[in-house]
This record gives sequence, structure tokens and C-alpha cells, in this order.
Amino acid sequence: MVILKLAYRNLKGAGIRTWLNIFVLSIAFLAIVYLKGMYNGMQDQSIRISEDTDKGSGQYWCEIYDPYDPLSLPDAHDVIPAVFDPLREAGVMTPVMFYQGAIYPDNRMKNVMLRGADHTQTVMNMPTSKMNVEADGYLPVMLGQRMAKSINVEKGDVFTMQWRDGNGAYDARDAKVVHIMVTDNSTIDVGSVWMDLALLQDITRLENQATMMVVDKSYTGELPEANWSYHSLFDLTADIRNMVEMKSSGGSIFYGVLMALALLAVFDTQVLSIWRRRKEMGTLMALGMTRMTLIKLFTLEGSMYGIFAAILATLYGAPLLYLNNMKGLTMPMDIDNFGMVLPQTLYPEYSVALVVGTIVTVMITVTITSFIPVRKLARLKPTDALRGKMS
Amino acid sequence: MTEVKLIHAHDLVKAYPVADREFVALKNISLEIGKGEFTGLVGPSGSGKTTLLNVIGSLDIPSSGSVTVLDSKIEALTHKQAAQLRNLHIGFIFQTYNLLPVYTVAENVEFPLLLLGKSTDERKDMVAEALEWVGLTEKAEMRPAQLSGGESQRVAIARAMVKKPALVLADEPTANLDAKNSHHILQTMEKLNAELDTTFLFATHDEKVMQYMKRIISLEDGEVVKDEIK
Ligand SMILES: Nc1ncnc2c1ncn2[C@@H]1O[C@H](COP(=O)(O)OP(=O)(O)OP(=O)(O)O)[C@@H](O)[C@H]1O
Ligand SMILES: [Mg+2]
Repeated sequence: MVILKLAYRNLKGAGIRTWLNIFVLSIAFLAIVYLKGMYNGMQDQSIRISEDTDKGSGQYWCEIYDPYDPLSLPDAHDVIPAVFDPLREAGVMTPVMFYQGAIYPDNRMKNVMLRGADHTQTVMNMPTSKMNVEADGYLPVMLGQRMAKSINVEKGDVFTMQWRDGNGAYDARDAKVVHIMVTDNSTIDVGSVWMDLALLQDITRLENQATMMVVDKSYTGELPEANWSYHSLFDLTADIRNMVEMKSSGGSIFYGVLMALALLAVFDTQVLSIWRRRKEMGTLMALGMTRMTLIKLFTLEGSMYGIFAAILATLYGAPLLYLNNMKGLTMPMDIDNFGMVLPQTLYPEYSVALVVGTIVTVMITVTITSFIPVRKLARLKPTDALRGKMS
Repeated sequence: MTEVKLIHAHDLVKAYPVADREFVALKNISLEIGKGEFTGLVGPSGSGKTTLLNVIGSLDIPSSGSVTVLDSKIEALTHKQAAQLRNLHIGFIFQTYNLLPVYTVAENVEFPLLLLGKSTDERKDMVAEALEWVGLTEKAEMRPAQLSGGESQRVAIARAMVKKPALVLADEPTANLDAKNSHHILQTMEKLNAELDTTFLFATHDEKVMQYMKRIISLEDGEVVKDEIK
């Protein structure tokens, strides 16, 4: 433990350069924790929103439905299997139907997804009950706020809606917007026109059919066997995780560069200090220090930058991160265009594992960086060192 | 009087490779130095004084021959054993003081004790004692940069002496000092030699130093040409 004390003394006495290194490292520390916390928060909140608003604890899909194959969409509906009845009656499962259609706001055609959900359902956090109103003979429909904005309609507006029914015959009616839904989930908003499932089944002549069944997020009981395939929330949110991973690896380039700069500063300081302090090293050996201890001492001096940086980062970073955590980060509206489920305000998540993991990673890299130039002291002769020579 | 011999050198040769030849800095040196001696190695520049001190101090190894210091055969020591020998028994004083600049005076003196693993209390007492020997108790909290040359060298003496080593090796300890400081330093060492029976071996060509020596070994071109006891 003597060398710990010595390393600390040396560092303390080394002046401004030490503090610069520590400062740069502490910024790298914070940037890593901040960015990672942001991505963790983004991922968790996105998944939670998905779970809450449209994915539940999982979904059953009818055989033909494949979200990655748009061509399958016209046929992606089937009669709801009777095995689901008990869960439907218990209110922990609800059908949703997707159907292709078009609308004509301002006399321009826009392809949309007609979506039917039971107005009595409570499985998805969506104001479906608002769709169950009389609309002066029009079809009552609900839009998300993004959709309403993009086609420039408001509550009470009427537009023509067109679709082909189950037999392939074209049909058209006027629809009235009876509610504008505010949701964090852009995937149930952008391009969608919601209506009561019974109504959608009726106008498409697809009685008792649906595209999928959503299971309530709180349901933990047995899942019935059906010829509809089950997809758990985990599977359904793979996209989100992939997306966040992609984004965060973009971010890691940024903090990789920051780290590299910080490490370069440490490396540089080490090289310089070893060159400048040859005579001191000779003196230390004359006083009875072994080369091994010398190597440990100088490596430790380097890794102490990491320790001090962690402390410094905590001192000024903790309040910053705390503030950020309280206020969250307000996302710009056009983030919706990525087609990702994102909350309006992003709250970062700083876990103990994240902070400890970052500290450990930084400590290891700083220690290795410090050790590399120190390595060659293993061949240093005391007499050469005393004469200020490097062997 | 049966003297305990602290240092034995027998046919000591030290050669350095220079270009493709060898330069022999020490040629078949044989000598003995007893416990408590106050001895000077003198000779012109390049005669091998520093080289001999370094070998005796186990900072370097002989090319051939044998050197025994405190029952340790220098040529047979591993790097670690040599460090151990220096740590426990040998104190060094350099021409350029070689104080650790970021440490205070007290911390500089404390350093060998840290390496020896002494407790905090022991260290405190021993440092205080050593600073008293050299009359620097007042300046304990100063940094080397704030000291005069003479004071710096006294700190170096305190650092070499604090662990009460059997042997102190001093290479041109007065070369950077004026006459007044030189005498002060030498008187300090003379006193410690008498009080603690520490063996001192100097390398010098300073006349002022020589007048304090009880024995003078003259080197020339790496050979002992004279060895006189006063
Ligand atoms: N590492 C080395 N490599 C090659 N030659 C060396 C080395 N160290 C010392 N020498 C040579 O050995 C000789 C003796 O050197 P040394 O330093 O022992 O002399 P010195 O008596 O201490 O001289 P000075 O009074 O100038 O300090 C010198 O000629 C020197 O050039
Ligand atoms: Mg010399």
C-alpha cells in the first residue's frame, strides 16, 4: 500500500497537467454514462409504451399476417378461433383487425390502414370507447394526433373513405372524425384510421374476423394453443432493441473518440513523465525500490487518473445527470418520422450496473494505457537511470 | 584490534563495452574497508571512483572478481536482493542531491522508511531525529525547490542516515557547495560517524573533503595507486 500513497503524492505534486488529464477523462466518463443512460431509457420507455398501447404481453397473429410483407396485408384476416373465447370473455384478450383502405381528404387520395378494435376493450391503452358514438349517419372514426395533423383534419371533419370488401367489391362511405387520440406510440397513429371492430367487420363483410389478438399485459396465465401463431412482447419489440442498439453504436463512436483523446493524454503524460523522471527512478532504486515496484508505482500513477476522474465526474456530473433525469429530454416532433415508438419526453436510466461497468471499463483501459510506456522500465539499470540515461 | 570488515573487493574488474572494444574502468581492485571507517576515494576525473562506489553500492555488478558487502556477494545478487541490500543497509548521497521534488523535506527523509515498512509512529520519530542531526527541523514542511544547495544536501544526508544504515556512500557530496556549506556537511557526517559508528565511503577530488578523511584511497586509471591511513 506504500506505492498507493507514493503514487498519490506524486500525482498531487504534478500540477496542472494532472488536472487536465483528470478533467478530460471525467468528461469521457460522463459522456459514456449519459449516452448509455439515454439509450437505456429510450429502449425501456419505448418497450413500455408498446406494451401499454398495442402489444400487451403478446399477440396472436392469423396465419397470413406478416408485418414485413405488405402484399400479405389484403388477406391478413381470419375467423377468430373459438379457443380464445374464454380469455376474450375474461377481458384479457381483444381482437384487432387491419384492413387496407384509402381516404380522400381535400380530394386527394391517401392510402391508409383501417384498424378495427372493440370499443369496449381495456387491453390496449387507447380511447377506443370514444369511437362508439352516433355520427350523423357517417362512419365514426378516430385518428391519432400525428395522422390528423398530416392530413390536416380536425375533430368533426368528414372525409370519404374507400375500401374493397371481402368479396373484392369496391365500396365507399363518408367518415367523420369523432375523436383525436393523443398517444406516444406513433405506430398506431401514423397512417391509421381507427373504428369500432364490429363496424369494420360489417363494412368489409368479414364477420367475426380479425388480424390479431392482443393479450393483456397483466395476463400471466396459460396461453391457449391455436393455429394462430403467438408472439411474445419480447419478440415483438426486437425491432426497438435493434434500433436502439444501432443508434447506441453510432453514439459509441462519439465516446470512443472522447475516450481515445483522454487515453492519448494519459499515455502522453506517462511517456513524458518516464523520460523526465529517469533520475528520480534511479534515486528510488538507490533507495532500495525494485524495478517491479517502480513499474507498479508508475502504472498506478496512471490509473489514478481514472480514479480521480471518476470522483470528479461524480462531483459535477451527479447533479447534472440528476437534473437531466428529473426534466427528461424533450424529443422534437419529427422524430416520429423514424417510425419508432418514442415518448415525447425521454427519461434516461442510470443503473448501478451502467455506472460501475463504465468505471471498470475506463479503469482497465487507463491502466493498460499507463502500463504500456512503463513496461520498458523492466530493463532499466540503476546506474543508467541515475545518470539520466534510458537503457 | 580485530576490525570487522564491511567491504571486501578482490580482483574487481569493471569493463564497459565501448563501440566494438571494451573500456576497463576498474582494473583488479582489491581492498578492504572496516566498520566505522571514514574513507575517501580520490583521483582524477575518469579514474573510476563513481564506478567503484556503484559496484559497492550494488547498483552495478563487477565484470569479474568479487565484491562482498555486509556478507552479500554483489556479483551473485539478483536485482531484487540488491534492492533489498540497499534498502536495509546502504545510504546514498549524490552530488546533485537527488531529492524528490514533489515531496516535502520530511517526506523525502521519510521515503526509505516507507520502503522498509515502518509504522507511522516509528517513521515520525525517526524523521524528527534525522532532521535534528542535520539541523533542519524548522524546514520539515518545505519543498526541495525552496532550499539552498547546502540545505538540500543536508536533507539528502538525513535521508541516507534516517534508517541508520551500516554503510553510507557519498559521491562528490560537496561538488555543488561552497566552502562554508562543505565544511558544515562534512562536520555533520563526521559527527554521525562518531555517534552511530556508520561507515562512510566518499568519492571526491575536493581538498576540503580529503582533510576530514581518516583514510584515503587513491585511484588512477582504474587502479589503486595509494592507500594511506592518517
Ligand atoms: N556506462 C558506461 N559506459 C561506458 N563507459 C563508462 C560508463 N560509466 C563510466 N564509464 C567510463 O569509466 C570511466 C570511469 O568513470 P567514473 O564515472 O567511475 O569516473 P570518476 O572517477 O567518477 O570521474 P569523475 O571524477 O569525473 O566523476 C570513465 O572513463 C567513464 O567514461
Ligand atoms: Mg564520478
